[in-house]
Amino acid sequence: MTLTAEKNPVRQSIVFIFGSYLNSYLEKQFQFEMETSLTRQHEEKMELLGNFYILKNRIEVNRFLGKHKELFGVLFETYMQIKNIFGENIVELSLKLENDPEEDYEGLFVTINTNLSPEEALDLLERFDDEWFLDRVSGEISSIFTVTVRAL
Amino acid sequence: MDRKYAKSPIKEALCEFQFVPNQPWDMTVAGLFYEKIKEEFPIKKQQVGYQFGFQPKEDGIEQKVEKFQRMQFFNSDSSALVQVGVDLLTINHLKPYSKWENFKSMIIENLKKYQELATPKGFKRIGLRYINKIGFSENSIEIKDYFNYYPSTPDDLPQMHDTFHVRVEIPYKQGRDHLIITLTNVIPEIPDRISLILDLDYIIEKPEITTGNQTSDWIADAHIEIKKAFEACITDKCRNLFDEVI
Repeated sequence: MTLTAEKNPVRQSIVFIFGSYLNSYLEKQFQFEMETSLTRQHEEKMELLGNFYILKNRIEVNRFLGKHKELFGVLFETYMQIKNIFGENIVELSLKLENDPEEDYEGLFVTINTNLSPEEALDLLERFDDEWFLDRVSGEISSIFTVTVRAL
Repeated sequence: MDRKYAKSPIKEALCEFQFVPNQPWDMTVAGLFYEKIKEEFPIKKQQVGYQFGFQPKEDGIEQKVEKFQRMQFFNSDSSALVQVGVDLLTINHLKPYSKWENFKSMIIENLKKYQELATPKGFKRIGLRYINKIGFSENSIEIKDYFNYYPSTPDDLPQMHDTFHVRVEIPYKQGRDHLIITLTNVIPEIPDRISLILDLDYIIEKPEITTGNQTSDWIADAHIEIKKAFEACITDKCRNLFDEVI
């Protein structure tokens, strides 16, 4: 039996129905909060995150979240708020670790790929910022976490 | 004779106690417990989780969601922590893992302090668990070269796989105890590499353990069984990855 490194891991598709999302989120929260191993908790959270976002550079995101564990909760909440505001206009949600060695910067970017026009997309992003993001994401977290929108 | 490794794969060791309460959970226990351990575990963190429940009603079943909290107290270099939740105490040792004698003392001392405060009736479950992380520099391995415990697929299927998760529960001591062995792949630290977790969890449910000495003896036995299981699960080729100290 030969074991090979994962090339394109199969991940479940994002659950788009809010009710189902909430239940599965809470259920999963319950499972990993019941998990008392920090190592296994981290892995389960990464797995759940892979259900909500397309992870563009999974290994780097995993490493970064290992150093910034407080971001997990923000990422799960962000998903819920994006779903609330953008609803069925979401084509894909992606999560990527971006870095700029010259600026000594590393941070996570969530990109909302939408089928809306650029104007409509920016209006909803502004609503997302005003209604939730600017209140919830502040201090150090706001310097390492960004949400952007892209009209396809 | 015990084998020792210069590059031990132990990523985390933990001992979890679930208690039968003597009285309804008192939220002040965590704060009072912190007062007793704060010199050794000064860093406080709070985790929030959700507890699910179902309640029958005339027109069906109502789902209840309750929020609960768990406190984590880390030592100054974050290599160990104690977690306190509702009728729950966990002592975790992260990297760098020192040695069993130190970890066992940490377990027993914190258990004693918790029992003095919370005065539980007894134990609902005790578990000693070792989580080993094993990384490979190749992007493809013959898993049976490294492990004696691994997934098996019928000969008619392709003899190659990537993502996997195998788990087995083995009864010990006439079914009084159980060893849960899990082997699974996890996200590697380097692209196109393989990283595996070998998780060994030795548990006892509804134990008839009452005294401190009995608890200490059970934990010592659990540790022996976990060590045996670890050595039984790996091959010499795997041992070579850990640089055995002769």
